[in-house]
Amino acid sequence: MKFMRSLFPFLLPVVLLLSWQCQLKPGQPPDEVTLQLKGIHQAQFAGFYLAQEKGYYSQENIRVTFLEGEKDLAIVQRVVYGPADFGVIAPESILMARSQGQTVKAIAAIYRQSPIVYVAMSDSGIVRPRDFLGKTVATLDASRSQQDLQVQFYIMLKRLGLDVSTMKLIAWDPVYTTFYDGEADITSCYSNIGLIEMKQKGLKLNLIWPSDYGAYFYSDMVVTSDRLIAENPGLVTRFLRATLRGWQDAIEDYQQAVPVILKYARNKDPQLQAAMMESQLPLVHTGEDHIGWMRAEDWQAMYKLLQDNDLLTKPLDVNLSYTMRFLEEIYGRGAR
Amino acid sequence: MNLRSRITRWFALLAIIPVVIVGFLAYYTGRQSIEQAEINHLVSTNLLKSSELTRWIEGNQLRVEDLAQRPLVVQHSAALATYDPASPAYDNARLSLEYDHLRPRIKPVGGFIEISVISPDSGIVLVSSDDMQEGKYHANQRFYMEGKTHTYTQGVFYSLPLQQTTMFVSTPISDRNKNLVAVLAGRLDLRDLSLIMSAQSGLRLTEKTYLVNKSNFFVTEPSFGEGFTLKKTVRTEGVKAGLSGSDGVGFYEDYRNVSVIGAYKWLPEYNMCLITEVDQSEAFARIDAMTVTIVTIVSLLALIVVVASFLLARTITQPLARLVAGAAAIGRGNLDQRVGTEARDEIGELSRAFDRMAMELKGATASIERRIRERTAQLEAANQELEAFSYSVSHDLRAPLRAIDGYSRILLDEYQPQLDAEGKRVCSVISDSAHKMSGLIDDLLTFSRLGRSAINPSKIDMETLANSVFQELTTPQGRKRINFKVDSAPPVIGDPALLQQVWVNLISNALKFSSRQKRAVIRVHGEYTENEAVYSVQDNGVGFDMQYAHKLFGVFQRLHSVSEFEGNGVGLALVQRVVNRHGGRVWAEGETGKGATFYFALPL
Repeated sequence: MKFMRSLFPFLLPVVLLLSWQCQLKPGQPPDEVTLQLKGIHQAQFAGFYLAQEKGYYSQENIRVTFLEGEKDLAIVQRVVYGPADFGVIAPESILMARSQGQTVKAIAAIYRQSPIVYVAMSDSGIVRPRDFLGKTVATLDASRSQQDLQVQFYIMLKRLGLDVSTMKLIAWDPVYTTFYDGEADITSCYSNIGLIEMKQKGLKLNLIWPSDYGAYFYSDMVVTSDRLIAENPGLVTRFLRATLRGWQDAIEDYQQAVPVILKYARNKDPQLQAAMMESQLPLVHTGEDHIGWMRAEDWQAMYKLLQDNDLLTKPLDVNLSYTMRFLEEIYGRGAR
Repeated sequence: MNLRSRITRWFALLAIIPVVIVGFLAYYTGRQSIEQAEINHLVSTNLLKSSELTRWIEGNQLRVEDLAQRPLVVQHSAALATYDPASPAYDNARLSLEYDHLRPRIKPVGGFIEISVISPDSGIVLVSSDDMQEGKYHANQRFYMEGKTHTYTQGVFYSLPLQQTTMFVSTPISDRNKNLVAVLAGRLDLRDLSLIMSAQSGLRLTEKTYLVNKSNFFVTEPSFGEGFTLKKTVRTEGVKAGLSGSDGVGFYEDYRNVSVIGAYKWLPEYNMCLITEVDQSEAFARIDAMTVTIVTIVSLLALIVVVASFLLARTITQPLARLVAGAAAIGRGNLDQRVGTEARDEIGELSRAFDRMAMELKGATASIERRIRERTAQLEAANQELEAFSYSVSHDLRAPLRAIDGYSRILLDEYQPQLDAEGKRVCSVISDSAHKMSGLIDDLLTFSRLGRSAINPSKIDMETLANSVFQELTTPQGRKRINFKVDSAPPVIGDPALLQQVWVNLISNALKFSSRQKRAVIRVHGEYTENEAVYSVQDNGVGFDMQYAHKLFGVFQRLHSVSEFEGNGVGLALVQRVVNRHGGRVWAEGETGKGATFYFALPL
């Protein structure tokens, strides 16, 4: 017994190596995987591009196809029923879909903070949500992929006890024409996309963050279906491991990620993509936990916000909406 | 290689090796101690910085705890939690908190840049030193959740609303009954942290200390670079080792790809790694300086050793060289040469012994020379007397001989009728004997003259000389039965008349002793050896028995009777005398009945 115990430290790496070898089965053809993105190709998905271009997916014996997001695309359905195996969507969409019985599950949080911010001109005097009263706000959006814009808006106002009926809500304009023209006093936007464009125009702005007023959410989540997790958990691990490596590279030197992004991005402006990269660094890495890490208390808080605002069809076990299984497998149990 | 060079080299080698070894040991020990000193300094700096970090955090924790425990802060916080926000009491409590307690704690630089009282139920900021923060929610923030139960410090993180990295210290505000009435949270000025880290702990210009989180991001700004905090990662060997949870020191390249010595320390309470580095070029500058010093000292010592070795070798070899030169001079006969020195060592003793030997040798030589001169004078005198005697005898004998010969001829001519046959025969014998004796006397006189006459040297064509002598000694008729040939006879310096006599005697001997051969064969040969010209005359005559060879060159010595071969026995003695007077030598080889070869060698 003592002998076996003394052998253990030597045998363990061998066993692990053999099991890893068996798992990869290098002779096998790569697994075909489809990733449904939340929006069009841009710096927002840099980590996936780097994982692809640096061969991290290939090293995991995976061949990944990226599908661009588009307006009204039912990403959850595409992940649950095909053709996508993985997707990138907001946590609100996951919780709402889950309460509707959709078997989608978050496996990592790429954006640990929501990039949603409400923007007003600096000379408008609008500095906090209560200043929204009587003003025109461009935040309505029917797109299923941008549900988070108005969800967070309603949650914030309700939390502050502000009557939404005192405001004029108009449709959110992705190119912010209504805001620039003065039709909207306030507009929702993403700090990593729209806000960059506005700053590039030289606008002086007041920023009102919903997270400051109780609407704290993660944002871009990597999701898959319960079915894939049950049928091929190894594939999920491999995909996520490669993805996180890609994101690690992306934020470690975002300038070097720009050429890779430009291979995919619709907008070929390198300065814009670099600025978007820089702005999303704190979203991906807050300085606290590992990239992609999720906290149970944050999920509970997000669920509670949606439930308190009657945004869920029916109550659900929030623990079914996400799993730490793969992150813990990659980073080690107990890591953060 | 001479002795001086060898002694110099060996002494230099024997002295330089220890010097170099000592130099290397000094360098090695010095380098080790400097490296260790640098390592100790970096480790100490790391310990110092980690304790300063802890003191800074604990100090700020104490500040918020102190504030949270103030009765008025507790009282006003409780009022904010319970009163109607629209009531004057709420407003009074809020204003009192803001202006009497929170704002006075804010400093322009350092410490807290914002302090807030947060509702324990909703996480809303009830009052803050910064008006803009009031009404904001921190319900999901860790510092708020942890701060409800205990004093807590949330490590450096990026706050999106604040658009900057930040750090919070929070603590519960509880009433006398330990009921939570609010959470007090203070946002720290991270410039303090960077200042603590960047403050130089020594005089090293390149020393830097920084914090790295477990995702390899800079938590504080390193000395060389800006905007690194939570934006740039660092993946050096030191950071890797530190983040693996170990403390230690390493030699590696830092984030600028500059070689550094780095001390790393894992801070488990903050989930960060503390790195202190200094450029190797600066850290090892002392080593470089020490290296230069040691190399200079070793080089100087080596130079001194070489010079000393040279001088020492010269001290030893100079007397020896004088001794050698003196010995050579004495060897050449200069017995007045002196090599003695004043040195009291063995070589000095030897030189003085050498001088004594030279002096004694000079005395002995002088004595020998004197005796030689005396003997030579005696010999010369005796020789002269002998020669004078033999000359006068020979000369004086000639007159009576002529009388004997004359009177014997008169007897034969004038008294022939009176003489019977026997008388005639006796008279003839008397006349022949007188002739023979006259010949002997002539030879003796010649021999005697050769011993006294001066030598007049000139270059002689020996081949021509040998041929002409042969021609003179033979008649055309006689030459028909003689095979005479001069193979070669190189020229030589000598007295032509005397050497002609040599050839005459040797060739006439060869003709005489081969006269009985049906066909006489005579070969003259000559050649140069290393320092002599050697000539020979070979014949196929009667030869001689080698056991009598030593008698060949004696005066009046004959190996054959007169009846066999006429002659006086003086010819070869003359040859030997002439050759000896030229400094040469003679010898002969032969065998009875098989001819003889006579050699003479003259110095070149």
